[in-house]
Amino acid sequence: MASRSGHVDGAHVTVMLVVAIAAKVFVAFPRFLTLAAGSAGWLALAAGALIALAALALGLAAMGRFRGESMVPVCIRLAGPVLGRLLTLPVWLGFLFVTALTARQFAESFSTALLPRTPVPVISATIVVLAGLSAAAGLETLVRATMLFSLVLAFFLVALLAGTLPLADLTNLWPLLGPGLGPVALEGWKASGFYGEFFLLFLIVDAFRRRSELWRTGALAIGVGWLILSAISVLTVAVFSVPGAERLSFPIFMLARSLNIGEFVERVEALFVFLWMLTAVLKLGATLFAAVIMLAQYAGLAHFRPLVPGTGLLVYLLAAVPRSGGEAATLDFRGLREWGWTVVVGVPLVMYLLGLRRRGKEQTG
Amino acid sequence: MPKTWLGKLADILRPAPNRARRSFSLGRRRSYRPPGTQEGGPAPAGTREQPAGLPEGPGDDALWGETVSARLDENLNHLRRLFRLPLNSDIVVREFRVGSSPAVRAALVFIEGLVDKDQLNLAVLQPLMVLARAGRPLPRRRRAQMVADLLLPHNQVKVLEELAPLVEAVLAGNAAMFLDGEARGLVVEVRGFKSRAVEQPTSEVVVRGPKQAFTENLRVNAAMIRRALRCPALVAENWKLGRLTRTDVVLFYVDGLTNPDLVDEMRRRLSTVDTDRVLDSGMLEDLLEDAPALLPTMLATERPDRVATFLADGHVALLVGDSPFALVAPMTFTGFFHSPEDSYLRWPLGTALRLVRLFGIFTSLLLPALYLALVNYHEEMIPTELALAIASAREAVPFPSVVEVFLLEISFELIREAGIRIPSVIGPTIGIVGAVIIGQAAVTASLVSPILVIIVALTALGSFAVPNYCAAMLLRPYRFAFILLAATSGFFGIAAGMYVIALVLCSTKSFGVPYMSPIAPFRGTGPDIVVRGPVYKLHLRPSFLRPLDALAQRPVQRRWDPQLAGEAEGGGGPRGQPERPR
Repeated sequence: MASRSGHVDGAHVTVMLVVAIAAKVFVAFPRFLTLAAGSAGWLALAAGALIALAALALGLAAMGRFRGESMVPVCIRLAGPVLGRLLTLPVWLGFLFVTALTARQFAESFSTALLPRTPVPVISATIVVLAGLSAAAGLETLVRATMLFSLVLAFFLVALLAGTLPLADLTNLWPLLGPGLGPVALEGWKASGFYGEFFLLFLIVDAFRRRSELWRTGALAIGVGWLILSAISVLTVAVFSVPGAERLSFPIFMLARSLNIGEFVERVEALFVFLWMLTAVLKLGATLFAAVIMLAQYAGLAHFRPLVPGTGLLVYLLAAVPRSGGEAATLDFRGLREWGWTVVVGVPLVMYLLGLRRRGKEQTG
Repeated sequence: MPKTWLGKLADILRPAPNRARRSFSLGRRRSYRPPGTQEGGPAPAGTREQPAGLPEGPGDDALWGETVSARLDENLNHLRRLFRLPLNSDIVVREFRVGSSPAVRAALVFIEGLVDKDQLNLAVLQPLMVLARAGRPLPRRRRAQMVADLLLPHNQVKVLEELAPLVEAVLAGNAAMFLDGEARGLVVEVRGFKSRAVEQPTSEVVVRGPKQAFTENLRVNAAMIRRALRCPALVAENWKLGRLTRTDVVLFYVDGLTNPDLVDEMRRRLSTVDTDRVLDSGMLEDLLEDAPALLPTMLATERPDRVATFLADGHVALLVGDSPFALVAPMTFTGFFHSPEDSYLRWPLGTALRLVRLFGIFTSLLLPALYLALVNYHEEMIPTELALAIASAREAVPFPSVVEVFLLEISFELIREAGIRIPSVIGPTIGIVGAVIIGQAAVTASLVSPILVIIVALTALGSFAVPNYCAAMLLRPYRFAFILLAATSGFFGIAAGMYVIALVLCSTKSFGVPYMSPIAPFRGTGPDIVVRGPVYKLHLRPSFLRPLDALAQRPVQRRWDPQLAGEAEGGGGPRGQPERPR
């Protein structure tokens, strides 16, 4: 009746983006961060967040002249139908591979920690099906589901932080600059790839009632995402030390195992499967949704839902390619994210330059 | 072969599903004709045709557009054929003469058993036959109006020209009167159908609060709502649904408060109802709700006070014929675990009860599944002593734990279903049978373990704590689904199931309102979602309903309270607040 359909609230999208960005702490992200920047991982993350914010600002500035249009149509307007699509293709590939590799890592982690007798492909299929359902349900449902679970996720996260804080040894965080300023700065530049999920914002511009909400939504998502990524990374290093953190594949699970709640309930880490599972499917739902709507925008389709099963199948097959969870993590954090900064910085920058060139042409013409 | 008058009328009035979007074809009491059609003309394009070769159904005996004849015999012959007289034994055609000078032939048509005979004899027949002798002659012009004005000492008399509303009035339990030489008929309100008295609610019992429930009498039900909301802006629109049942449906809303889009949407949905029967609110609910599925998107309640509360918040309500349940729309998830008693108790108690109820919902939905997940997949979570106790209790049970759970759950469902259907005289027996079979014999026979009996009993208690019958029933199939998920993959399966349910909940809408409002999407509203705040803080109506007047009360109540006096002086009045309805 009175409620308008199709629009979403900026605050709700912020929560969804935060979950999408921060979900990587549940897999091997802290391990690879520690391997790269030692005890100064959080500093590298902060630098990466700043670069991601700059990229967000560039992208929004480039899109500012095309009200209500998302990234793909804007790029097509700026660079033509072929080049425009090619320009955004790395973003689509990024979403596709992030979804596939994350699904595989989560499936491996569930198999290792909870369901050792269940084959990984079965767990992987379950996760992809759930992500597909989320994507097919649409943006409104996705953000509402994220909103609904955000309190539960926040509660578990705070409980984990509060419960393991007494085990932290702050001397493990020294030296503050880890391997040195130069390597940390370089890792910071690369760490901007960890925030690549903010591109989803460029794809759902038309779902916002007010354009002014876009910057606030993206900036808040990157900021809160940085806070969560940093908090878990710092805690992991503080509890397990740098050499220990470099060996942990599932740091959150290990942190949860170290929790001790009285004498009655002896082990509570299994409870964290809810946090784990919900975060996984919410994140995968968001990234799969992004991949699907980009495909629909490439093809100029009005409805994206028919593309969900096919894209889901593609994700499932890609997730099956790595021989192990470790290889999937390496591909994700050493391959994809190592070079992710080229997409995170490059695409908005090119969009902005193309926008400037077009404006210049319009003024001279 | 020329068509009979009935055939012609049936052509005109053959029900059409798309005849009108805003008005039911035989619906509202005023005459309705589709746009662009004339009386007696062809049905509009897109009208559904009756299958060839089938006789026209009884529902097609409509008389819309047929006017009353000035000849009494012709009218009576019409009605005798229409009512299949003399086959129909309870249709009475009482012919008599009005005692005027000269006497005028007249007839009353009514259905025995539906009318109040005393009223008919004393307030209709006696004045016309006996008291009219002293009166003046009845002229041919305005004869019916004179009878209504001067000779019928009754509080509700209508003079009508068309035959269809007269027939509908007879079917509804009134008497129709025809006078010779008068091309108009009269409807006298003499309904006297015996119905159950107003009694206590059976499915929404409260300790503190009104103890009245709807009955099987529509007018009594409507009056109970009116008594609770004594507001002239309360509108009760009459509809008739069902070609055979001609069920009266009353749409309630508060004009100037309820969002007009919501009222229009309800009207639109009612106007598309094209069925031959609407016997109860449950049937209409299926025809009106957004996504016919397990989730109820309309609330069925038997409490007038609850309907009044919802109407005052900006919802719309429907009373359906003889159904003792009203329907309220739109409805959100939170409405199903709110009890009317929450508002009548002190607010901390109301809040505590809601939390207990929420715990009951989770227990009813998840407890057997959690048990299965723990004993099969996550034994490390169970304390050693408890694990040993469970293991020793299950030692003699020959089934896997999932079979054990299913056995006991299905037994319990059988007992519950039998308990509802069993005659009340032997009702207590079922409890004894259940207790003896499940509690004692099944454990002794080592079919189930004692701890599982405790779990299933707690599950049952949890489901009984849900205040809405439909919502409590809804938990049952989901519980079985969770048991299967837990049996196959432990907490992982439960989490997956919870996520799917959350997706369903978040994608469902009730009359355009998101089902999880005001939680997801989050909408600022009064403290009446999970926590029930004090009454003096419940200023706002639910914002997701977008009522025309957002304020339910002045922002500062208890102005006698010295602690709040300053706030009241400081502009707690309605200044700057949304305009109230005129």
